Amino acid sequence: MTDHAFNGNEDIFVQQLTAKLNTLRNVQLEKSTAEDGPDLKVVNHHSGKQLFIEFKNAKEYGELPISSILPIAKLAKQNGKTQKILLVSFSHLSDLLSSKLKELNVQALTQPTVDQVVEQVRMALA
Amino acid sequence: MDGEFKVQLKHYDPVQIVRIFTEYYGDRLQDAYSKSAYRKSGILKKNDFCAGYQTNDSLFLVYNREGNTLKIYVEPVNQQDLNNLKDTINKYFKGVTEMLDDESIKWSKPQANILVEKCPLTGTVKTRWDQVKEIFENQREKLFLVPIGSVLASFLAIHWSILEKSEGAKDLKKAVISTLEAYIGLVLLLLVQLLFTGNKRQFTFKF
Repeated sequence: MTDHAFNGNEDIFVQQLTAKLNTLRNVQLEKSTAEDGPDLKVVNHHSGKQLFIEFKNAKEYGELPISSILPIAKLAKQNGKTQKILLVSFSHLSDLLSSKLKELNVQALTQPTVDQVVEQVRMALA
Repeated sequence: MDGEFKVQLKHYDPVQIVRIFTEYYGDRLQDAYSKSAYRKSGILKKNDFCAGYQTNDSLFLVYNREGNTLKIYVEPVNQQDLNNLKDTINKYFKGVTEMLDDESIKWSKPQANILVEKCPLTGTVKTRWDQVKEIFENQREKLFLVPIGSVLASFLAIHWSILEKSEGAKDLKKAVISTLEAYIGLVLLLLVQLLFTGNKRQFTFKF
């Protein structure tokens, strides 16, 4: 299996991830256009579980600004604590942001490969 | 829509930082926090910040120390106007860095970020060195290429007997004079740019 690391192009990463997730059994992907909705919603029809994926990239700033937590907290609040959220960050996460994400029960992957995200999705939906 | 800017401090003394923010901006953390999106969200508490400031149209909150980086959250009341947010960040950046300079606190690596959904903007400050490099880049043709070209052309013209030696010498003289003019122009430009305009405390934002 070829592992696709993030090469600076978020769009290509998301395309590759989407393509791989679409090959998973019983899994359906929904892209959200709502401003406060998740970037990607992954639903396992078999188990009924679902996972929200958020992509964040601060580019040259190097690390996600701490206020990145605000829309994620809103999403978590709207959907309850049982809703699983996965943050895929293409930038570094500060200690404060990481601790707040943990409080929200949001799993964060920093500069992951596509396969690492797929594996995480697989585990979350199992 | 909100923003953040950060600077690296050579020595970060948290007690001193709280003291100087209180001296320059007053004890406004409670006011600023209570008006911020953080209070509404509840995810960051007041004690995650060490100082703050609030006006009718914007606020800033200073995050607690993390390493040697001083990080400041900026939130405008008007959430729709991107240019207003850029101006607000630059206004607070100027004020905070002037305050640090007054207190002889050395800072470096200024950077800013604006969170616009899916399109983060990064703000960078042109240092004096960046300005010098830019001037040299713009003047490269006059300073290096034209003089080298003129001298080479004169030598070749003499070598191929297109010009006599005396005529070639005149051309060389002209090339030297125009090169000197270009260098004097450069020195003046550097003086005007660096001494009179000074080091701008302003972020330039780009997607």
